[in-house]
Amino acid sequence: MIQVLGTFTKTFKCFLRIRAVSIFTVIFPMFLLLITVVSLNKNISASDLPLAKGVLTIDMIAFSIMLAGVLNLAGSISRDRETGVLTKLKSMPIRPWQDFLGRIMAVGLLSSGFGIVDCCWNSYRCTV
Amino acid sequence: MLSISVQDLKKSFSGQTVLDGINLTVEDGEFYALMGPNGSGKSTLSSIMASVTQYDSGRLEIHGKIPEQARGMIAYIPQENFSVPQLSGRENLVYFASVLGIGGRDARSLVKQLIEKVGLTKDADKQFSHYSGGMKKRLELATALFPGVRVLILDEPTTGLDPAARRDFFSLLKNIKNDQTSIFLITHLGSDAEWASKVGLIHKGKIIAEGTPATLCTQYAPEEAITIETPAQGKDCEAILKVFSNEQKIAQTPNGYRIYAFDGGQVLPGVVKALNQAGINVNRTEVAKPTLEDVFFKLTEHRMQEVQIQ
Repeated sequence: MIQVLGTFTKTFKCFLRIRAVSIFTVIFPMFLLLITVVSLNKNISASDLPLAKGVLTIDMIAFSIMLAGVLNLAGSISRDRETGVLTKLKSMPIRPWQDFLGRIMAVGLLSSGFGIVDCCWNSYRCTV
Repeated sequence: MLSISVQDLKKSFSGQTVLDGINLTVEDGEFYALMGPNGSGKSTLSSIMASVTQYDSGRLEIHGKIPEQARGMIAYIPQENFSVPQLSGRENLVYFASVLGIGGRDARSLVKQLIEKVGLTKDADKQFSHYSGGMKKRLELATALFPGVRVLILDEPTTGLDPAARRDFFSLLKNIKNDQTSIFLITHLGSDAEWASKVGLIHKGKIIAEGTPATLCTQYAPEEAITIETPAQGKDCEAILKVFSNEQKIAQTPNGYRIYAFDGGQVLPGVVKALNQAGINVNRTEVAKPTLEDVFFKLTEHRMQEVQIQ
């Protein structure tokens, strides 16, 4: 378990510190989807506009971020291969599944964080 | 007790033999250096020992276990850096401690001690990518100090370091090494191998000689090299020098000649006197004791920038 937690901490810190990864995982999908929705507004009827702006946009943003987070998992493995971390890990007493689980947990935390925000937002809208 | 035992180890890549029946042993607490040129198979051997690469046949044991079962006892420091660039030095060590199963407060207090040992207390919280080459190597050397590590495998650790940083690295290595830890150093530099208590020379996937640095020099390169720099290079000069050189061996260098004698210090005054009597000026002389590189060149019949004169 210590190995899994160690990998989780490392992966999560790397995610937060590599600016390019953070931008492309979080900000870029948001920006892209906001642009898309705004450009689609012309074809949306006035009565459906609040729905499109509200639920659809937020859902799509959350989904995109979750997807980008999962894609980042593959990136983290290739990054570790390039920096020699994987070679070192091969010579250490960590099983591949422990390393992989730690990485998935980091991605899972990020994705589920946005998923929870999305759910809360939708629940709030339904309540209102 | 044997720390590393290798018997008839063979490895080939795409039909090309890289290791051709390697046999070697490293005792507990011994500092063993394996020296050889590029492509001789030394890095392959180190990665096999660290269980990064699989071998084809033969036998390899680390403290009586196969490498895969001895991973907790091995600290492998490959040629290239292996730390995570985005993490600080401290965070990297905490991460590698967690991989070894040491977590929480234990890991943090252990890492603090290790950082002090390798002299990186001030820079412990700097990002690894901002470290200098020497600091990176020192930090990675700290991974060899985790509890339970008994075999340290270093694959050309001083590559890219300047002479001062290289000396610092080996001084640190000597200081932190305890009697229980064995060191297996891969190098192509004689000066690095001379830090070891036992040296093996590898060529084309085979160990061609083994012994202490002094024994190897005495056995395979007993002669001292006398370098004579003179502007007057010609047959007259060569004839005089041949008289003094062992077996009349003489080599031409860019600025003069090199001859060989068992006791260079005694022979040199006679050489200079004879050359002066013949009206030949001598700019500079030097007597060099044989090094491990000379031994290696002798055994593999390589010559460095010298033209043998028949």
